[in-house]
Amino acid sequence: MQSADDALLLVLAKLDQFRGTSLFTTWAYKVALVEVAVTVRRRTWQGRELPVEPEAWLAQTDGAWSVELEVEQRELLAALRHAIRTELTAHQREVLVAVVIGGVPIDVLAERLATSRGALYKTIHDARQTLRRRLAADGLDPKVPTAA
Amino acid sequence: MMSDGRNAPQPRSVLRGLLGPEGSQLTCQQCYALLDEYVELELLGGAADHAIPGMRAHLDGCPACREEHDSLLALLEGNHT
Repeated sequence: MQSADDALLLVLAKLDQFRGTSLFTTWAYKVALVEVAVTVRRRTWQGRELPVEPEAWLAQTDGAWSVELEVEQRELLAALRHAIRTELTAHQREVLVAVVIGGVPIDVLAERLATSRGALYKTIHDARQTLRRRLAADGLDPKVPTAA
Repeated sequence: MMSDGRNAPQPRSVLRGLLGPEGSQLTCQQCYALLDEYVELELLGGAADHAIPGMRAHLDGCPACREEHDSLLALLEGNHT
């Protein structure tokens, strides 16, 4: 009952954001659901260390992972590891590795780093663009098949 | 499924995650603003990706927004059945 009251208050507080481009119930579900998702992610990660240090991952991928990949993907991985080390800033490395490798939710990481989800996603986007440019300059195709 | 970092990441999904989707995409803020409209279009079987370009690429590149999209879609699908 408390949760229902909280959700109602939340929806009412954001009512001025409703633009009428969807059903009101769809919009209200979105508002409540996103709020709950953010809260759950933050509680799940409360007090936990970030699981992956960039350098540890870069060292780890030298070994076990390589045997699971096709030759082309091993080459791609090696180029990516190099580009992550040489082309990205320390901040880009930390954010990209934490979110993509460590599975840290972006809003949890934003809270830890005292920034916003949007700012962190831009960091990730810029880092990916830098990596893609580097691979293209090296003559590598950045496509990864979904199946083995 | 909530991603909490306890499961070992799979090499291919990591490669895809590091490189991200191709092409232009929305920001997290734009994604949030348009998510309800996008999901309704998906449920109607309409051209959601044509109506809201850049949304699919963002969902492919942002695990948190993807999780919220999938949850909203599942909730509305449950209401429609």
